[in-house]
Amino acid sequence: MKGSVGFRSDRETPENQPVSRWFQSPSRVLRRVALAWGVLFTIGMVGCDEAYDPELLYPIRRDWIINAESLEGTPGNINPPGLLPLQILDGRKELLGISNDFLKARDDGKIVDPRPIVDSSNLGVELMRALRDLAGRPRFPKIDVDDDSLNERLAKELKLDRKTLERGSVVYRRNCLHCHGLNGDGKGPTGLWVNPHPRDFRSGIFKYVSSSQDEGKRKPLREDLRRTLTNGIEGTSMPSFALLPPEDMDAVISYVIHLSIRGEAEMETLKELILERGQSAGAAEEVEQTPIVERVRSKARTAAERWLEALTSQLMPASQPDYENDEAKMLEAAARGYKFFTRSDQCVQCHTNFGRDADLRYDMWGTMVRPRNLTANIYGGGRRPIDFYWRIHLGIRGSGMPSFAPVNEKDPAVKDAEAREKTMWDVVAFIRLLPYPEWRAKLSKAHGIFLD
Amino acid sequence: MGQWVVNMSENLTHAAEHGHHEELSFLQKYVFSRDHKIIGIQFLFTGLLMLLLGGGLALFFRIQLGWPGAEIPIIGKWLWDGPAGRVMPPDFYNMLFTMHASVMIFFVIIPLLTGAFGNFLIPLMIGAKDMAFPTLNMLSYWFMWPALIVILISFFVDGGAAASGWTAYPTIASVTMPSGSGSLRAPSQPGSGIGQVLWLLSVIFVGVSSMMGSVNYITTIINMRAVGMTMFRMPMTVWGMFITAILQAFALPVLTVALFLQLFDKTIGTTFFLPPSGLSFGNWTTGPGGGQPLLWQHLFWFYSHPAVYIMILPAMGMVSDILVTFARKPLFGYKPMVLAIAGIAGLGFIVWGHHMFQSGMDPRLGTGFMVATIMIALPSAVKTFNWLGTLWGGNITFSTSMLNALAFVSMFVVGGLSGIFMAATPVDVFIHDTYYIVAHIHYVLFMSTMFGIFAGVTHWFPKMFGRMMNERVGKIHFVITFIAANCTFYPMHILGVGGTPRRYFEPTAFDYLQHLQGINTFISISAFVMGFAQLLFLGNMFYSLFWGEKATRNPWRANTLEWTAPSPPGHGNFDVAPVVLRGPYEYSVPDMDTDYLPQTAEVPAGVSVPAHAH
Amino acid sequence: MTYAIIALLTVATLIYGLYVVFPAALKPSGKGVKRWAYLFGITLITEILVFALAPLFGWWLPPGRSTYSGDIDLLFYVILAVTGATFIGVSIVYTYVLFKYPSQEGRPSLYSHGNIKLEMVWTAIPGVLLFLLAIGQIPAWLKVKMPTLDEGSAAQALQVEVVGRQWEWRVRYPSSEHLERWRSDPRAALTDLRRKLAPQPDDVRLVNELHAVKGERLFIHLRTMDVIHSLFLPQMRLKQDALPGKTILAWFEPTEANCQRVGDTWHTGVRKDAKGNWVEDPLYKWEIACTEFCGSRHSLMRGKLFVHETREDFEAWLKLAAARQRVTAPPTEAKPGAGAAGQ
Repeated sequence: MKGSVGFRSDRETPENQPVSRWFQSPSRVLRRVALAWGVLFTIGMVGCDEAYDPELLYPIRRDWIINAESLEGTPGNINPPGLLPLQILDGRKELLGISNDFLKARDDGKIVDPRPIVDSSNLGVELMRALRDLAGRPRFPKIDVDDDSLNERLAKELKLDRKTLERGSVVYRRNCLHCHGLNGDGKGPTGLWVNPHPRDFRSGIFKYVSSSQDEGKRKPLREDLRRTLTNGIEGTSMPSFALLPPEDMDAVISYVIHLSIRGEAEMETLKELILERGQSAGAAEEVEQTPIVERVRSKARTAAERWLEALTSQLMPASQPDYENDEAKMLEAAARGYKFFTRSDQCVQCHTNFGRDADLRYDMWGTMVRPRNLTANIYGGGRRPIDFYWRIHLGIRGSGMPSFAPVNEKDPAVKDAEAREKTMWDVVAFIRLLPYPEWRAKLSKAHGIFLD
Repeated sequence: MGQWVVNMSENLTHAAEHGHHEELSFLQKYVFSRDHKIIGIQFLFTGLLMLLLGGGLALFFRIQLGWPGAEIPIIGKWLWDGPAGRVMPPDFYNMLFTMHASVMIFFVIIPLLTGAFGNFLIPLMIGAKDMAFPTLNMLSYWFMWPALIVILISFFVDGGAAASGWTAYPTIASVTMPSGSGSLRAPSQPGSGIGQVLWLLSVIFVGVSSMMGSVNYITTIINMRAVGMTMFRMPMTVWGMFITAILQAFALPVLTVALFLQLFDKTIGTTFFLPPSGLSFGNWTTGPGGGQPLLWQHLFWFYSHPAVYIMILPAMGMVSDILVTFARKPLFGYKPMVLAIAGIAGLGFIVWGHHMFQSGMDPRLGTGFMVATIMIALPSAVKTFNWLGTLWGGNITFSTSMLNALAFVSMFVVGGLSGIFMAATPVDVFIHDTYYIVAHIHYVLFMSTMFGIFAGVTHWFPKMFGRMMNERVGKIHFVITFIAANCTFYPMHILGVGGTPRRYFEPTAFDYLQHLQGINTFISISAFVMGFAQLLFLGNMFYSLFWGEKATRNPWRANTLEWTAPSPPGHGNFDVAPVVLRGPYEYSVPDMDTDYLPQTAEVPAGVSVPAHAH
Repeated sequence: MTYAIIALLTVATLIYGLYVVFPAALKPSGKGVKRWAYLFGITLITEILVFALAPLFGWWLPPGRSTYSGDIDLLFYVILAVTGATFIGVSIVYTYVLFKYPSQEGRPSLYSHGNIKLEMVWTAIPGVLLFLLAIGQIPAWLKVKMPTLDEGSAAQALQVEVVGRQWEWRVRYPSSEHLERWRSDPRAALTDLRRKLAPQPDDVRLVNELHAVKGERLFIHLRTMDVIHSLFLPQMRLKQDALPGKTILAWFEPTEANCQRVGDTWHTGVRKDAKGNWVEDPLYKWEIACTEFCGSRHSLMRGKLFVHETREDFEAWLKLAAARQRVTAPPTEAKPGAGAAGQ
């Protein structure tokens, strides 16, 4: 039986077969491959770092700054995925008809552009250096306001010591970075594609706080941030991080505070510089009265002091409601709450039709919000009675929800502190029952209120 | 039948004698060619090019899986500086695995198996001059180019390329903003906007290209066989291509329809896949719909399950032929093999629901699918036993193509057996959407089909290009690929049994998976070795194209018709119209001098050979 | 330890495959050619060994802890045995063939076109085996996916609504008072089961947390607000896709408890040993995962499963969680928020 080992390639390679010398000795090739594999394997199994690149720096702020307490106007439509409303100022035509009010606000000076400042050689460089002195870099964050006693208080009370911050940086990078961005601006790769957009920490304004400080100075307690992290924010893409180990949770809270202080110092300094440049219009180079590093430090100190003050300023309700386990009393309170809610100068102004028909509006971060649909049973700031109380009493800064009406002798609902407190708890009762059809029916039946 | 055969042979000899050769320009000869051989080679090169892209995408996301959250050198700084913090964003990872699967399935495996080998081999193996519809054939290749361009553009659009998995399930893939508020942008994730629309368009083009091809193949095989080439004298490769073409012809229209439905949902505001209650993505809410997300799954899997058989049956056919050639022995059980291929294909049409066992469809429906799915293991098992029977008692020569074919057989056993676990619906409750599925997929797709492709390319390279591929480099490539691929994909079974879900960007977040992370790193390293080894194969191919040893007509001493043509065949393929006298597997016929007997050769005196293959 | 084993295995295969097999196999004929059989054979043996030895390293199924996990695991092992035996058999034949039949001068190949009898045998036997396998598992499948719904089972069971959304599980339990009402009126329980548990003001709402009771069934009304998610409880062997626009009923009944009350919080990762004491055991940290691709944070939809030892323990937790959600003043000490019951 011939020919079983017949075909050519089975024989030795003919001398004239042009094959690279490298492949003449296959065993040598394969031994090298095995060696390379072994080396790769050893390196690979060792693993890589989960922290930021040590060289990486926080980028300087180059996006639009909103220089007003609120922005007027009604959005034409909700902004599409992947675009922020403020991008109309960068020429994104898709947003024409959606956020045109920003064009007017920019012309009125309510929205300002920091790029002329930061792109100019010495101011931008100095600002970067000053912020690095203040806040370090992502891998090695710190808060150093050049005041030893304040620094010490920050490290102890606000837990802004280096070790906690470094750990927080790792936790943040793993869990928060892709939405909230490297410097906390809310413009991470995923952040542009969710709505409501992630919080921009750099303004120093947080929505769900329980501190009783003045509205312009209010900061969240660490507890408030922890609550947000634990519960998530219902109705948004902020998930619950309750499963983080407690040390990681503490660390990332510290890191967020750090980002916020840094961002606020940066923003306030830029606002000041832009204002000065505007006032001394025509001058090519700014004459700085105060060095930039001093400005940055003083803004940071202001912010830091407010954060510290918040820790001991949690708002305690002056009285407690009496309807907790009493259905009849609850319905009565809800009925009173309904009456207050539907007063033409109160809640229905914004929560049209209990929120079902509320219009879009702009918030302080240049994104869009809608007054909550209170029949939908979704609450961002928590659904405990105390959470409702805090939202009503303190308002939700940044979103346009004002704090509760002040004491006014002419108004029976708030004629004194006690009446005011009672009215707030009545509104809370109403809100709690509003989403449930059976309870609306009971309210109708007991108090003749027609809610549907 | 006899009269028709006589007419056919008259036509063939007529054409051969008159040799109508008009002068063709370079463009007509090599670019817009209507010669099936050129078109086959065009598919081959395009497919191999896309193999680089698909493989590269896979290596990219294996970096994230092996070393989660690590900063990738160079690329991290280049792509993700700024707010992304030089870390691979989760959406990017999602895009990577989606495009890896889409490119591999639609632009590599199907073009290589059906486009390259089908086109090149079918006419040659059945003794035809060309395909039944040469112009349609050319169009089927050139329809791939719009698909390619569109899919490549999709990487650069706002939001990135499609990222919802190659399965593109609604509602993550299909939901879009109401018109007037940024339509073509999706609230579910960035890649489901323009990227997804381009993906849909691209796959529609691929589907059209495949449908054209399948019609061509079926017609050619039924109508244009040489004199004496009955259906049961065709080589297994042709049977594989034939049944595959039938699968394509019947299943692709359903996919095309589904793609159009999703395209309409995304562009003109229909609601085929939007439920009546609407959806809510935070502040972005859709309106009410009038459809059902599950509809897509049914339509998609109705095609995609036959698709997986499309992606293996040609390779099975080619492997049968290669095994026979290098074992110097007839195929064990020709008719059962044909029946098995037909059985796989037929059963393949009624099992699509096994991808949807956990989807919320009625469990009673699942029971029916389950029984059919388990039975599909049977024809595959029969084929495996027949391959073993083919090897038994043979004279095996371990050439490169034989080694790759042998790898196909053994690795297909692994892939096929792991499929039985998924067919069992209660077990599927646990392993659905885990790495067990990924392991199964890659065992049948990479470890079987790709080895089949390596075998096929090496085996028919002499016929295609008139040169031999280098045996030594081929064997080195084989050994590295074989070992590295097993190291890459076998541990995935273990990951799956441990419960590691698929499509996970962050495998380390879960307590119950912590102890498996080392395996992920091991897989990633092996994947890199495997990926780089493929450069050996490609290098071998391109080197041999120009400087390979010149090939004779029949370097492997095989029986089938293509080896009677010159290497490479000219226009018209054969010197004289072939007349087929017997089946393709008459090797080592007793009382013969040589150990092979081509289909057209006269039988020496005193030797008896069966007229038809068994 | 595991790394060491992996390293050893890799290096061993590499050394054998590349150093020994290959150079000899490249020789054109003679003894070396048999060595290809070794490459395939060793690979196949390694694969068999990996599956056989994986459980020893803990790389295996998470232990099943529900009433139907036993059925599922049994089926898994039956199939493993059948496929394993097939694989071993085929591998042996395959390696033998490669070993015995490399090309040899002077030995003719077996000229055979097949053997119909053999074909019938190896079609019939697997056919029957597979068919029996298919039919044999129908009861298990129907048990898992089509639970009986009647007043009896509804009254005994717990119900919960789980809403998947990008990217968390929002969980809602009826209050203790509501459970009371079910005990006295089984028809109400069945109605709630059929009507998918309408929301009540006193519901206890949690995120990424499920509580169940050992020995009692938990019915889950599974919904989603946006895209398809899939609820996966590995140790309970529960997996069910959540489909937009539909509420799907899933259920499980745990056979062991994994959480212990410590003060006012509950801790998982514990089990009762033979004497009845609680001991730490990391295998008892049971989790919830999402197993249907749902976007950026698909891999981070992680939750915790708490299985209470007794119904009383569960109701104690439920009452505490409800009370935490009804506070009208900030809690005195730093509590981790409504419902989150510790690590």
